[in-house]
Amino acid sequence: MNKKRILLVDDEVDLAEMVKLRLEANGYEVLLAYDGQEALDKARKEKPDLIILDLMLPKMDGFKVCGLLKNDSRYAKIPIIMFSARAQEESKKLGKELGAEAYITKPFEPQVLLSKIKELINK
Amino acid sequence: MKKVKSGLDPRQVIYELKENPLRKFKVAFALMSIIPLLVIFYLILVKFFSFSIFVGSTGLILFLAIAISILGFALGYSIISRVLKKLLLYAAQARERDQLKSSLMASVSHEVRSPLAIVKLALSNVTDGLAGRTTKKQKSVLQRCQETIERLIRMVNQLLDLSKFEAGRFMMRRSLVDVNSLIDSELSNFTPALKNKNLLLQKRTSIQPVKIWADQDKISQVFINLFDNAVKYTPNNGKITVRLANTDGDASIEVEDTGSGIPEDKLDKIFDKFERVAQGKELGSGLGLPIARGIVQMHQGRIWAESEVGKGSKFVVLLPKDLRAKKR
Repeated sequence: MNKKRILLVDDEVDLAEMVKLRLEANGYEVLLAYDGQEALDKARKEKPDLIILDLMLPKMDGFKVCGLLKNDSRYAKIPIIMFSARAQEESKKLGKELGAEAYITKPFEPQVLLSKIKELINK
Repeated sequence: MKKVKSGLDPRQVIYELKENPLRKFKVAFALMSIIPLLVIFYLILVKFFSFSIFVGSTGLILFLAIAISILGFALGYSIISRVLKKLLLYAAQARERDQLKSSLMASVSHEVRSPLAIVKLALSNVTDGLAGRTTKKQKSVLQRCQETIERLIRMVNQLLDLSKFEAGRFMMRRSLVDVNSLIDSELSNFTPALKNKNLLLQKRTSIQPVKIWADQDKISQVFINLFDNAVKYTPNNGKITVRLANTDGDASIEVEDTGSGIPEDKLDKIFDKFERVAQGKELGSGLGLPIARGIVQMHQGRIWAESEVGKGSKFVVLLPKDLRAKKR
């Protein structure tokens, strides 16, 4: 069976590396992007099975990336997990309104992220 | 006087005071002025009943007296109103500083969460063997690091919560909350901790359901903080009693423990930030009770502690059942 591919977007390189390590250990293939534009380009080009999207990104923030992808019928089906150190209710609400499937607050339990991924990818 | 930054508005303070001290002062001053004015009129019209007092040396003295008293009034008025204005401005400045401090606290806590997330992930990656096999000894060291990181995360989260209270930015989402089942569900999370210390848990509730109009998530935070303290500060084999009752218009929740107790002079202070009475190896952030108090006050309720050193402590929370019907 083909490995499921996850696009992981975070400008914090160390965090991205750590999450990548965890995801790869669980059998996923991980693509990395470090800013909003790169995330958008890679999502369009690679069509990953799931996107993990940080909110505060250089060039284009996560909300905008999410909105652009979810409004495009070619990519709207790719599930998006937003994650951010921002725990404000408004951010969560906005993420949901833009069509993100889940919102995880940093710092998070790796198991929480993994089970969310599993749930969304197998849908 | 120092020039004030734009945005600083004493009117905000007046609004929060729910009365305007300047206006009150003007009214009081007018009332105070009435009596001397009446006396002057009385002297002129009734006592002397003649305009002769306006002429000659008597007239001069009278004129001087009136002038001096008017001057005195004007001077007194301007001094007091200046002082009042200064006080109001000072209050506005203090308020702004406080808000600034809170927003600083919020952004710092926020900035700290990202690096914390990295360390947490890195630790769990190593512990779970994602970066190679670890020995038993290494694992136990790592576990201690993880516990410390968890404590830091909790503390930062609590600081963030607290700063939101202080900046008045906490949103309330009220619904009808069944306190009894909320307590049950929160208590169930403490079962392992209770077992660990062999603590006996007693719960006493009224037969009638206790329902309040409240923000469920926040109220459950109050219970969590209180239970957490009770478990933390009660020695092994102790007892924790939770009571729930309907009192006059309020829901009353009590959490009593058989811990070391709190000295009387510290009973009020424990609700202040970073105030920790207990000594020993138990580590709290010193923020649990201030947060609990913040939430209870948001619900226009009351929280206090009763205690006897060596016997234990009791925390009492009174929450109005219907905020809409209650104004305190």
